[in-house]
Amino acid sequence: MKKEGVKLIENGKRLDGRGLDELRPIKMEIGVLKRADGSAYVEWGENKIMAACYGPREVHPRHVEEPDRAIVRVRYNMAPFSVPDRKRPGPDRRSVEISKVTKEALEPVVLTHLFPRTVVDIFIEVLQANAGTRCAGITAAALAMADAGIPMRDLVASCAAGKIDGKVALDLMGLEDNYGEADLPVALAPNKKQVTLLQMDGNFTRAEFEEAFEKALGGCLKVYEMQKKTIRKKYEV
Amino acid sequence: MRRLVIPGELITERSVKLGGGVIAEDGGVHASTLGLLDEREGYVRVIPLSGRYNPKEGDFVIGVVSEAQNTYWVLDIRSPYRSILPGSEFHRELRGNERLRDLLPVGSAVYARIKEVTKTKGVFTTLRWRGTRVLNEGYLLDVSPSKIPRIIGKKDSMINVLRKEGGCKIIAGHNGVVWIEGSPERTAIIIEAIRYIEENSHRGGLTDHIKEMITQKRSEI
Repeated sequence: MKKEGVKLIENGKRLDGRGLDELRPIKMEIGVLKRADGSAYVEWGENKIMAACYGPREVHPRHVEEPDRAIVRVRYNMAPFSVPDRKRPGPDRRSVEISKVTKEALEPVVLTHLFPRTVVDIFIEVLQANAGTRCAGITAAALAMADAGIPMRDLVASCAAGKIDGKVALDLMGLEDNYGEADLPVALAPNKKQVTLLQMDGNFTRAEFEEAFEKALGGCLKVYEMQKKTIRKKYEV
Repeated sequence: MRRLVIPGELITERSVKLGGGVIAEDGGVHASTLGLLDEREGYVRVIPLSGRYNPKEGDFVIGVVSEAQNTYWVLDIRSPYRSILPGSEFHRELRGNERLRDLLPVGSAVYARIKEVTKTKGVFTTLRWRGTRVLNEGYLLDVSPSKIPRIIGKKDSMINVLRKEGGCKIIAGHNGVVWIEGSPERTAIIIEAIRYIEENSHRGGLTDHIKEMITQKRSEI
């Protein structure tokens, strides 16, 4: 991460006018795809993300199934047009990693023992990216799973905190991510009070880390409230 | 009006009997599926709004033959698990050199009872039970399995309205498949009515509304 000349905080405000503890504007919708068992669409600042969920269903290929529980598979994918320079289509090192950590962020809440020998498939498509896509992806995927009626212990909400101009800030956007010093994505199962994703890119001091972690958890709770509202809205009378 | 609950939401901290769609954890009862809360004295469950059918012993299901082997059929019952209908569970013996695939070729539909679900989720069905039958003609409609109780209604009230006012034969399987036999026009009305029930299942006073709806549509034919 480089740090040259770009001032990210001015008069306590960030480049897009946010304070240090403010999230970007977030829009969520569930049940947006007819053919998937469950789906969700999330706009998180400039991020646009679609998530779909299928299952529980029979596992193909057969040899990866588990005799006593369901498995969870996640595919995180970025559209070629999701970034300024065209992204070469197909899985790369980054998206394989994000698929893996997303799977590990979601699997702990799924009641896998109820559906042995099956799979829950989750697809996350990033249509437009501007930093924080893994958090938005996890948030959307959790909504899609709830929409599909997957039995789960809890929802999962996710949010990141980072460090810009030496200060800890919530939910970095693209510019801040590029010119900032660190980023800390966190996913939380709010009722279980269980952290299911914790990654760090860049460097924090110990005190900064703790501040960022607390901020990110606060962000997760705000995101969780939005998730609940989104679900409620769909079934309002 | 039943309350909508979201996975993970705390329902109660009292000790109660648990139905489906809930889980006891961390000293409380939490919802495990998105659905409507059914809370009674000493008993809670969540009626799911979506989700796949999980086969249960004693359920009556509508299945479509997807394979016809020498000794058994495989039925597609819209669940994550394939279900077996053994040749010996057909309602009559084979005659002469009949083969199973002559009795029920691939694509046939049956209304069967689930006889057994093993620990490894092997599902075995039977046609040797009162009420079960082979469905020769008609239309199969997929709905969410959680909506089936609403389509049947209290003491069959809703499905009887559909049958009587709609003038069709109707069977609703627990697995979320509804079989309708009648003229194409009447079938179309029933389908419309069932879709309406599905979308408005969380509202009250549906039976009367459906009755009116069908009578009106039928007068338009």
